[in-house]
Amino acid sequence: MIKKGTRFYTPDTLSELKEIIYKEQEVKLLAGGTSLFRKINGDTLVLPGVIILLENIPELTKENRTERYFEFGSMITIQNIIDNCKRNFAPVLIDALEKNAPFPVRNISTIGAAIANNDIKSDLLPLFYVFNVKVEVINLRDKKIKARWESLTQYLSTQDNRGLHLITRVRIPLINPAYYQYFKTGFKYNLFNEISFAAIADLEKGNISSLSMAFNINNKKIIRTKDIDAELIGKHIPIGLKSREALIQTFNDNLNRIEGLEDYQKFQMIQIILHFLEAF
Amino acid sequence: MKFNIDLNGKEYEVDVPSNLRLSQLLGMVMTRKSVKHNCGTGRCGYCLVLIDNTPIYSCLYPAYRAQGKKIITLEAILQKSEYSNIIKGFELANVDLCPNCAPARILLTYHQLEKNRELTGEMIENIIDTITCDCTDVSSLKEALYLAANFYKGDFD
Repeated sequence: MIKKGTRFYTPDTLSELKEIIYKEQEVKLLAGGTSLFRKINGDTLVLPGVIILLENIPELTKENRTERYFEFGSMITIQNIIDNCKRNFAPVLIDALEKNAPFPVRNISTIGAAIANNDIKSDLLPLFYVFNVKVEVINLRDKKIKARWESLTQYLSTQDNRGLHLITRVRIPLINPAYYQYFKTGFKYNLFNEISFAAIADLEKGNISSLSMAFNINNKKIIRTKDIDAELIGKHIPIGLKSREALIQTFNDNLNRIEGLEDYQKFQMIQIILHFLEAF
Repeated sequence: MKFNIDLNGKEYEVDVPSNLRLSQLLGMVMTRKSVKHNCGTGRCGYCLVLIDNTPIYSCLYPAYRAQGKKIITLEAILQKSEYSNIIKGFELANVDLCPNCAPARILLTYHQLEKNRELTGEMIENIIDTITCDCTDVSSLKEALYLAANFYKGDFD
């Protein structure tokens, strides 16, 4: 329903932001804004009482490059990252960012919100997982501004219980994997109810020496298949037809241990992993 | 709520509900016919406008956020020679776009050409993918965009 009198704030600094949060009870931090449109009543937006626009805070739009990683302020847009880092990033990362949304959407959607948005998990999260992305988080209800770097796994596993917080920076390591894949089922720019998959591997004489895979199921659940990754170390890429049946059995056993997965989702996941291993 | 917006170079004061989208503000309240509020979820692309010279879907943009930013719709370029050059390209390729997608496609073509003067394959794909309308087949559209770019540069008269 329409909430009359939604108030907008545009703080210029982090301390100003904290002051507003100290005064107001129910607030929504707005980065790109695309997540607002998940909650609509007919054609009308359902807005919370207070919206804080983060676009004027300079700390959130800074970019820092080193030889080992790139650091992006959380308000940097996906399109900005594509434009500025096309030459530096692994092709799989750029491919995933480009598949995220059409470019007018990429112009407003931000990297911080792609990670922080808990209602709908971004298609980019599996890739950020396998790339071992780190985030800098500050708790906005604390009195002092105390930033802390966390791994994505750590952040996402504690996201529900941490209250109002803000991702200030995102650190993407400069990895160039020998073998990789990013895959999304369905329409090119699917929005939800699809599976996205990311995998990176290092190969030694055609055999897998290290492997990391992750799935995003229906934009609701991120699954890291660590047991399957471990089973696949040492296997040759592309896999032979003979080993296919045994691998399917192993994948099935592992996926059956994960709760909340439908049969068709397991089938899709297995086919996606095989697709990756058969080097299509 | 009251706020000012800069639309096509002119400043307007608007008084609208806080939960209004920019596409609704431009299309319904300010009656700019080139901005269509259609799907409301950033899929169709009919509501494309330029904000601070960046193409965005205005249905994904709260109207209030446009305060202090420069909004450009197709109406701003109708009198420019660049517009007629783009149209010439479409006419030569025998492409007659439907009224839904035409404003967004032409505005996006104009924006890309203003930025680069030349359209690469990737940009053409971008223009085609950004607006999901089936009124014209992809190969004709590509030809039209290629011709529009040539007229724009002045390669053809």
